[in-house]
Amino acid sequence: MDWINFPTYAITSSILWVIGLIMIYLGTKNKTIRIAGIGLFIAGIVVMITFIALLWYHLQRPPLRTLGETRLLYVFFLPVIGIIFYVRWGYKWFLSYALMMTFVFVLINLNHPETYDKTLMPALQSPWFVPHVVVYILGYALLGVSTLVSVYGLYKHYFDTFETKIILLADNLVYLGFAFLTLGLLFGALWAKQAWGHYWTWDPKETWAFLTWLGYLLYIHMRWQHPKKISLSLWILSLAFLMLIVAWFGINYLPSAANSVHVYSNG
Amino acid sequence: MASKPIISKDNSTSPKRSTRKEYQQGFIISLIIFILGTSLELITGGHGATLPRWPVNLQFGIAFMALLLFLHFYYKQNSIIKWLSRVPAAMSSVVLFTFLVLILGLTKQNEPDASEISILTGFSHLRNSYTFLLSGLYLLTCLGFVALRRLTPITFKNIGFALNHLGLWIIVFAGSLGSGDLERLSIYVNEGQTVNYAYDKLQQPREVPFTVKLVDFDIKDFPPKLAMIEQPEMIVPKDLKNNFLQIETGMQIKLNNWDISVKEFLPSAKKEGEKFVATEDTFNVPAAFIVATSTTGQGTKSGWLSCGNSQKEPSFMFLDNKFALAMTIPTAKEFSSMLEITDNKGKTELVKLIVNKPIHVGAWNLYQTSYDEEAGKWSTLSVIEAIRDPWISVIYTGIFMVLAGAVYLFWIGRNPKN
Repeated sequence: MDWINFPTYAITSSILWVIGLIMIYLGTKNKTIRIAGIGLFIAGIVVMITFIALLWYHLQRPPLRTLGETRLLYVFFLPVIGIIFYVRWGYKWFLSYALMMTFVFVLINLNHPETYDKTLMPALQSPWFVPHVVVYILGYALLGVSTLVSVYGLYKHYFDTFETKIILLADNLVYLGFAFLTLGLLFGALWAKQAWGHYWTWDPKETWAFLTWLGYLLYIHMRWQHPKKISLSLWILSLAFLMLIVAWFGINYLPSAANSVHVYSNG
Repeated sequence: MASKPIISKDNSTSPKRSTRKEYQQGFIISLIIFILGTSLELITGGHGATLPRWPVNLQFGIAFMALLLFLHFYYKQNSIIKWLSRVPAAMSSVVLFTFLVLILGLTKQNEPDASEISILTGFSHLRNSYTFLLSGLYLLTCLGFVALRRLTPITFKNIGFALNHLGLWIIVFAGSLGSGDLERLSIYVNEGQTVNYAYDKLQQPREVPFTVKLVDFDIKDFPPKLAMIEQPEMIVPKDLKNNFLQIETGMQIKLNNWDISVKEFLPSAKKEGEKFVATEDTFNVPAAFIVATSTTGQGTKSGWLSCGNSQKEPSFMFLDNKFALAMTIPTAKEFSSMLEITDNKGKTELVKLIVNKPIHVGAWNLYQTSYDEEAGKWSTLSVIEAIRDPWISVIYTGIFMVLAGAVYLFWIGRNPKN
């Protein structure tokens, strides 16, 4: 079981997700259809978990190291977040967006057969590795979706009628995403103390993760202090995502990151 | 403290206008701090600010905290204190700080060939510059006052606020004050050798309050990988970069129209004539016997591959005019030092030091850092880092407060005001 088997699992999951989503839309008035839709959607997630678990077993290390592997994790977490938000708050369109994002990651991974690399350098062999990366991936997934919400909100604000529920959803996503971002940053600090002897060394990845954190911090305070300044808040939210993009993979292209301890691969 | 108010007490202005004015003032203050910091760097010749060490840093810290508390409780109504404890000031301090961190994130820092102008203005060593120091001080002042204002009286309702804001304050406060006390030394020890000194950043030796004897140094490698390379440059084709598998006997892979199989893999071998044989000799190399069959009718080839090492040449296998096979140099899976450590009370202990698992000796932590990379597997040298950070428990307190604050944010899920 490795990346060679990815297309089979990805296509099975995708079909289940699409049918599930269609049934959720069709079942607006019919509870049975709706629940069956949710069931199929969850089945799609289970297929993806199976692939990840088998890949993990095959690699003999958590599949969290390369960009391709983190993309795979998004393929898992985005539908999970989408379905939870749908079941909890009834955001149907949100589920569609989450799924659309998922397909972007599925397509990238289908076109880039990924690394077969089983090696894991000694510094990464730590109990902190999995929680550090998993909370980051969850945080990034939530904040990525909040960016879509902010762009949608800006469009509504300038060209259509803005509805308050849009920014409330953004708040919701940012609070959850920011909580995960904070956990990721601090888990990283605690791990760094174990591995490198200091909790903060201004490594370029750390610097950018911190900038991302500051960006969302500004959004939260803006919303707290000036709840009526909708467009400014939405702009801050969109810009914070730029920081996130740099922190996530843009870092590999920055001259300042040449000696980063976080650049492991060019995959 | 200054009695001349910088904020107009004119109540006729609408709250909206006065907020805007406060933001403007905040950003002017930020700009002044920026210019002041840069000027201080220029005046002092771009050497950066030196933070005080123990015990002056502690005295300074206590004085700073006492000043914040004193001003908060006795000069609460003073317009400057009032201004400093409102959101616009805090926001401007965060924006200034963010701006400086952004510069940190975009530029190479502490480069030996930095330009004169960037040295003189402090941008080549921003983290140690007056600008960064003053910005941090401004942030701590605003954050401190905001927190004091919201938290008096402290109630259960603002527990989340307290955890996040006080936690962050503690981290920034103790992190900057404590940075002068952080000691980071390197111990170089060979197998059989006993040392009681370490080297600092400038390679100056210093005595440490313990002795370290390296009993044994050990490296375990991952198996090497099979790589396809392009002639004549001998580089890896871009599209194949990630498609290399670890070599093991019986492994099969298809790379660019060649079916490749590994007939035999010897983790430690030496060359004898045209072939490799297993050996435990020093400077042995990994080697593999490969059979490659063309899927486009160019026949079958076979031969030995080896990545070589610092003493031995690598062996390649040429498939055609364009492609050849190579073995990658194995990467370290684990390296460890068996150490006999004697502390200053004369207590001796035998411990294994590995990456990610530091050991404590009194106030010091020891980390497995490196080895003689030239010798690789045959290194008899271990590089150990010894670190002393007396402020770490204060930092941990702050970190755990913010961690709890993050859980609180997750729990409330959104701005409770809306």
